[in-house]
Amino acid sequence: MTTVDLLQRLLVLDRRIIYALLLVCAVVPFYMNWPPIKMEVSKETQDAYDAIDAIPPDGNPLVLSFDYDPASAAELTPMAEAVLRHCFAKKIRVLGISLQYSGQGAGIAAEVMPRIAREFGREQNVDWAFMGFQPNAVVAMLQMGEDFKKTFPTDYYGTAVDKIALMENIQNYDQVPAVLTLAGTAVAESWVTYPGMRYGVTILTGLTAVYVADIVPFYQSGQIKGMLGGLKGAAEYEKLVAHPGSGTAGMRSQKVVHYMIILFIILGNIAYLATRGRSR
Amino acid sequence: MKTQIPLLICLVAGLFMGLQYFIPAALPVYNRVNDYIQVVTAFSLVLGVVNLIHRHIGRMRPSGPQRRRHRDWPFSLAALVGLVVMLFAGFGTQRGPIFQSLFNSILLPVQSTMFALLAFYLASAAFRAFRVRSVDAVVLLVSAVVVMVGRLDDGGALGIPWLSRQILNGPNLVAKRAIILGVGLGMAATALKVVLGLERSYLGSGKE
Repeated sequence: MTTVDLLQRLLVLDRRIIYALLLVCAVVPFYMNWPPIKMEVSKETQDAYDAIDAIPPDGNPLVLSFDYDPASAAELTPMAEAVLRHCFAKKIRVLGISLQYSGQGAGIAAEVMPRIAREFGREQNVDWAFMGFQPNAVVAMLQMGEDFKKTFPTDYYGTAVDKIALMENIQNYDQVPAVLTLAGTAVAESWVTYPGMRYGVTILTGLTAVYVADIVPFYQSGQIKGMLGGLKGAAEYEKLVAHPGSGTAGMRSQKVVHYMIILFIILGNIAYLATRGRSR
Repeated sequence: MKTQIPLLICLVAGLFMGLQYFIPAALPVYNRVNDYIQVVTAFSLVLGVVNLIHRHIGRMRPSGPQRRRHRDWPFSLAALVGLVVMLFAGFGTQRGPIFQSLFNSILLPVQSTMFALLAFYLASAAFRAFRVRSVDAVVLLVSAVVVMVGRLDDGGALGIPWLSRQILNGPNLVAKRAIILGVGLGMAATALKVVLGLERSYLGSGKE
């Protein structure tokens, strides 16, 4: 069998072989400490970290909006965990909400927020609170600009807002030092357009990698003050808080899978060019 | 009247929401309108649930000359059982451990799995379809590889992360800004047409 014959066979490679290789490349690095990851923190991530770090301890809370569903959880939940660890370690209060249209971000937040708060012994409704889901994201964003308590009359667990100590001083965005939206959809753009522009709120974003290209113009224009992009952003934030988690583990998988895909693209093109020359 | 009243409501609401931005005294009315929108949205959610139940019960019911169920009726049954179980778990336990366990153990892995399948299709498609057939294709391929490596922790010595940022902050930014501006102007023009009653497709054809 000549090299060209081999390349021709490569062109019609069974897709199940590609699937099997991808599975191995994704799963094995995630559970092994290989390959090593040497993260350099990007400016976008550092900006987001600095903006959150500047929030005074035990003061007004960072609003953390879980605007994603389980499909994006692999990329965005590591960000949520890293940011919560940063806040709770520095005694920065956190107010969780969810405006993603399907409401499933609320289920994710209800699992993540109490778990990380327990790690740091932070008290619910004093150091953190989760207000749950509101439909119609844009209107909810605008309503919060006038009255937070009217937008969320109870928290996710049914506690009246007046009984939540964290909410005592919160009337509208004037008492919110920053909003971090974790999003895989256009909700992030709405945060910039409405609370960001109308009420002058500091907007930070944590985005799925595929959505970064859409939002970069808003970061460059200064409308977004800091941005975490995909697993890389999560891993960078984990480095900043010195707590490698699933973002860093995911980066290992991503690294191997990306190189595997690039290798396949190169091999496919070599085979294509070689066999094309032969047919001529 | 059937057409004129909705057009009038649209005109008044559209003009008000446009002008309130410049009139601080209109704030209480603006807040009230936002409340109305939330109420309408809540109704649309109820409508969605009713529509879902209606559709899936229709699939489970025997119909046609042979009185046969739709071939996918077991999926409809699963959808309805899921709806009822989550409703009871949510309302009955104040979103307690049962609701959260169902969410964490079923919905989260199922949806994540569905999305993860994309990686397999993507890898296969990249291998089969990403060919250097023209100069444009070469530019696209090189950009894709640079941005892919730019998302990793490697390539610093070769300047790939820098190059990746240049692609994102250069050509990508220019194209995105053009799209954003185009979409923005299009939205403004469409909104104006709706408010002025020139665009009436939202009223339906009137034949029903």
